[in-house]
Amino acid sequence: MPKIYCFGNEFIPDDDIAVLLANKIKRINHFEFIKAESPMEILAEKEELWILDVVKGVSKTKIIDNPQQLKLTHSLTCHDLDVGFYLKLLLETGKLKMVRIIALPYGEKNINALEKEIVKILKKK
Amino acid sequence: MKKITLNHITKVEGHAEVNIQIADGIVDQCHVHSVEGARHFESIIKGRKYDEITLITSRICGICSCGHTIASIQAIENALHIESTLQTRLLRELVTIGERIRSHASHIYFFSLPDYLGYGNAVEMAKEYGQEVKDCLEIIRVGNQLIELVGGRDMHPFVPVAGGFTKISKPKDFLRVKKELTKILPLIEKTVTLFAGLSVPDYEKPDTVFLSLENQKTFPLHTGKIISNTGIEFPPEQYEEFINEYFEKGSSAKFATIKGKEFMTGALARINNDEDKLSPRVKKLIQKLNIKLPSANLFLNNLAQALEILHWTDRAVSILEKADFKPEPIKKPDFKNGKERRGISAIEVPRGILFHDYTFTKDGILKKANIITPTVQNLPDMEMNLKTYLNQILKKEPKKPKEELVLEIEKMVRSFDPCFSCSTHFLKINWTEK
Repeated sequence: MPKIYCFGNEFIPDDDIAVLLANKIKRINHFEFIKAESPMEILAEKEELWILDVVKGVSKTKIIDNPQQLKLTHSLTCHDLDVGFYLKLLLETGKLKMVRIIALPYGEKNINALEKEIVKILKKK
Repeated sequence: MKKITLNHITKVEGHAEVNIQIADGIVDQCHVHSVEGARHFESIIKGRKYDEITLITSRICGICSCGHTIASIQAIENALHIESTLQTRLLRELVTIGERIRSHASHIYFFSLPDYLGYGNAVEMAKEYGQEVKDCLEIIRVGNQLIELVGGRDMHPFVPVAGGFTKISKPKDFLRVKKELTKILPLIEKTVTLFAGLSVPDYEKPDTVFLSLENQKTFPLHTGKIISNTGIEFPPEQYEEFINEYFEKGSSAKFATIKGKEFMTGALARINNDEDKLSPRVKKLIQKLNIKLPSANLFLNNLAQALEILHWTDRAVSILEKADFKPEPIKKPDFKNGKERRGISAIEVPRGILFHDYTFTKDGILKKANIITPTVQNLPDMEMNLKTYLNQILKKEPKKPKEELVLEIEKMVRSFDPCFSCSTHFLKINWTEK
């Protein structure tokens, strides 16, 4: 069953929505929603990876699957090794062939409306 | 006077700056300063009950959270006379081994290796060295699995507590992780071979004091006395008589010397002092690759880290082969004697010796704490090595371009694998030439 890793911090109001959705949805079709505790959890995935997260600059829920759109933050220390860093390495080494990020609009709080949009997107997959 | 400013030395833990002053072609001053805000963990835990402390001190570092967890637990148990069981000690070993694997692999592959292969970062390096990066990611993944299996999650473990473990994973999960650890052994051997083949600078500081824990039976981890290659020997409880912690103006990190002299702690110190206790597989590889030990070339610290990954993976497999872990009751302290109590713990963490020293009131409330991280101990030695190494380069190549010198400084700092976040604590370099 493909997993969708939900990233965020439930204690930070603008970064909590993906985690709240993971708690609520659990499963849609054959997709299992996982609340990600650490960026390194994605190291277990091969071929295709699904992520649910809040993305700044997105006005409605959509899939981002172009790795060129992933911005690499400047990694200065091990403390900065984030999901973006591991994603780039997994794609660069060919361990992952595809990353699909279900991007949620930043600041959107209507969890029921977001759930409906996710269901609509995943029905096509 | 020549002044060079490297605003940021990257790919180390935390943020720091280096000030270097050169007069008449000789480095006469070299200072490493942490530029991070002071974190005051020792004050934050004051007034807390004994069983609240470990979850807070684990937050000192995301990279070494397991190390801080175990050092904290041991200091509490030493103070409150809680004797751990053999199973608890083995599980504590496993959780810190997982962290050792992850921390060393991340540092040597993501931060040090690009220096030697000529890349700015690991992502650039992965275009040409994809298999090596894949190996690293697999080693890290399995290290994480081990931490999660024993500690409850892969960072800031909450299952180990003073007196035992609140949860024991199922036997089938221990078996699964043992198989995964066995599978990465060839990848780690490849890692050692890769790092043994790197062309490191021909440099030594012959009078270096290497300090590590020493345990008569096994390669050092959680117990033992403190020893050096120069004959220093003392139990952890006497650390204040030997180790002097001090502040330097302009730095938020502390510094430490031993009897007034700088010293090095960490993987190279441990291997120099205790090579004979490495696993048979590591010893065989050292012989096969003709690795000369002991060595005062601190650039070999990254190779020592690779050797340690192999040693500790062997050790984890051997523990898991014999283990039959079952839930045990958590041991509780007895406060009947009504006395103030002090407990000191010294353990080996990825970057060297970590001290936690707690004093509790008669009711188990923390009255005083002192925590000394490995980077605090390594900073004076780093300064001395930078000075010695730069002078060696300038003697041979007085006109060496500044950019190349800066890269050499960064390589040396990264060889130490410092954690400025923990020493309070990115590196900015100010260079002055007269």
